[in-house]
Amino acid sequence: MTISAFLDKALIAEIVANMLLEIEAVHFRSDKPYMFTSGLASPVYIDCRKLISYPRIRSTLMDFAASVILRDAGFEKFDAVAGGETAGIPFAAWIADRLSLPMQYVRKKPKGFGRDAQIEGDLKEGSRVLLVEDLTTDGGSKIKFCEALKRAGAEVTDTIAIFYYDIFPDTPAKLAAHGLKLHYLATWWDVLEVCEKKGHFDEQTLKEVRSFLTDPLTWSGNHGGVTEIAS
Amino acid sequence: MFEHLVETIRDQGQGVRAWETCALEAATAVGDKPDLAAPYFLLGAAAGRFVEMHFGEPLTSEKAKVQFDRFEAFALKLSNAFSGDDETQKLKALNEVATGLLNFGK
Repeated sequence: MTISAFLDKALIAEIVANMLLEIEAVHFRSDKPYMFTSGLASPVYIDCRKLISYPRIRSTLMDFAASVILRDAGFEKFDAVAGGETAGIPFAAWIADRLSLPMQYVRKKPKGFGRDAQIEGDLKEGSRVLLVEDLTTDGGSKIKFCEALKRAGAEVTDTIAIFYYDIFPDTPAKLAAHGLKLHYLATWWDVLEVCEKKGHFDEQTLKEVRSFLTDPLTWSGNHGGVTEIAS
Repeated sequence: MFEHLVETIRDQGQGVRAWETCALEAATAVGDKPDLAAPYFLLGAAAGRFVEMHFGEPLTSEKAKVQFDRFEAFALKLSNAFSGDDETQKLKALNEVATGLLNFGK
């Protein structure tokens, strides 16, 4: 399949935000906050895994992802696509298919021993691998998956997520310090903009969400969560 | 005796990553302190179960606190039992915590 349509990023973000809202993947709740893996308390939660169950939506999303990669990273930049276990796997498979590339997946933990213990699928030494996950919050899991791929002999310079939280200003720099450039389709700011434009959720809820997105550590601290993220 | 595991979870924010660190700490302690291998193993299993159930899932702060309090109670029960010399009490505590693990993390 050849990707030849390259939409404006802002339009992609708006469409993706609408898709996520349509399938009720977006959850806002400030009275009983969610807790991130880092201990951050949050009024927002997104379930990107639901996307796999909507063929029309996921097909369009994968076209978007492939177009963003081709345009922003390059047409001949990668030799393989790897998905981070678990939610990154289906998206990696569909993106690999769109880009006509081999695919692997990266386990969260090694199975057995050896430098390939975290990798499933055939990975050739020196392969330039695109890492795929469903979402990115602070970049922590991406760095771990990237390190596992590098231990197995891969070169990893780019990663793509369907959804990027975009609430910690240092996330891009943190990823860049590991040689990683982040690509994504939509953020919480895109979702919030659509919600405010179309009247999804009540005003008070959206106010809490905006407060969190603007200063997540303070919001977290005021709601029983951590006030700093451990590196 | 096992309070350091509880402190690890508390000090690192009580999110899934904190529990993961605790599980690893407990697993290491099993090897380092063979006389306390069984209680450390159970506490490590509890922490690991929490991680398995909640990694990548919408965990609420409320549920996180409930499970943290339960884990703290397990650690205290085992600490009290293994601080003394009564082997019957130690076995009782191990069995009670093991039974408690059946629905831990939910």
